[in-house]
Amino acid sequence: MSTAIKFTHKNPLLNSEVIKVFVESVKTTITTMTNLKIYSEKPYTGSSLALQAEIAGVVGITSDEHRGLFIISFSKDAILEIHNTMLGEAEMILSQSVVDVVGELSNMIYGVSKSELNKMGYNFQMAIPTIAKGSFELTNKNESLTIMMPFKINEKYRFMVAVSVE
Amino acid sequence: MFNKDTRFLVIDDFSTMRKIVKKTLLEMGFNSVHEAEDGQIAWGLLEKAKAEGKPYHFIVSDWNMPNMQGIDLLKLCRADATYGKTPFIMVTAESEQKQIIDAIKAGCTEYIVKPFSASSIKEKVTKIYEKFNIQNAA
Repeated sequence: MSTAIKFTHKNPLLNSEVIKVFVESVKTTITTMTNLKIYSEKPYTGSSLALQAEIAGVVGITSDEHRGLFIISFSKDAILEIHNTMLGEAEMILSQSVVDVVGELSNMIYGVSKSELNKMGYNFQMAIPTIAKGSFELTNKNESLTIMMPFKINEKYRFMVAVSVE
Repeated sequence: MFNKDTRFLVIDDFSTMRKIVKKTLLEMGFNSVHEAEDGQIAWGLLEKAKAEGKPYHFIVSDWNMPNMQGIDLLKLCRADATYGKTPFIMVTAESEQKQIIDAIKAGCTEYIVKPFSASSIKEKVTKIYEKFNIQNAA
């Protein structure tokens, strides 16, 4: 009989195993859906969240004890590479189809992460992602801990995952 | 092997998964694959198809959607005389045991957890197709 491992740190992002869950979820999801090779770079912390990108998927993280955000943000080139590989299309702009791919990836990656984290004793809930597109900057003014996780596709295009938890 | 006239309804709020599932089904030889953006729209299409005497033979639905979730659509189907036994695959990011048990209890035929490959969709559809003898029903 297996027992869930109870986590003792106050903020989940202080646990390196939690960061590993997010990193592996990103790699597994995108590789499964596209066959693209995804490389992760060293995560780093930030006292506030400030992201600049051309398109991003945002999912609210909620549990009984925690509130936060999961954000995956892409440059136009990076998301078009993923979109076109995933669907076998040759999209050139940030169309509705590209917006939907960002939404679906956000949903899948957060879903995979949530399942793994809940096995560790958390109780995160699923949420429907929202998409930010165009020239924008996402900031989090709350006193949250933020972990930035940079990724590369095929050693060429870059994208970023940011997880922020109060 | 498959009856190309088998009528599929694929439901997801994001076009991405609808496109991937539809493309996979078309590759398998099916040519009657319809789409809906959430459970509410899907239920309207299911009712309309039933009224026209051309009910759907196979439903592939996402779980996490606005307006009506996949699990609620499944429950509606299972309470309906026409769709009570129609094959229903739940495609979802939910992989926790509780969700799987909820879906099975509600009458889900098969369960696919995202992320998935096209081959896993083909496998599930083929397995259900043979089990339910849809070849003759369509």
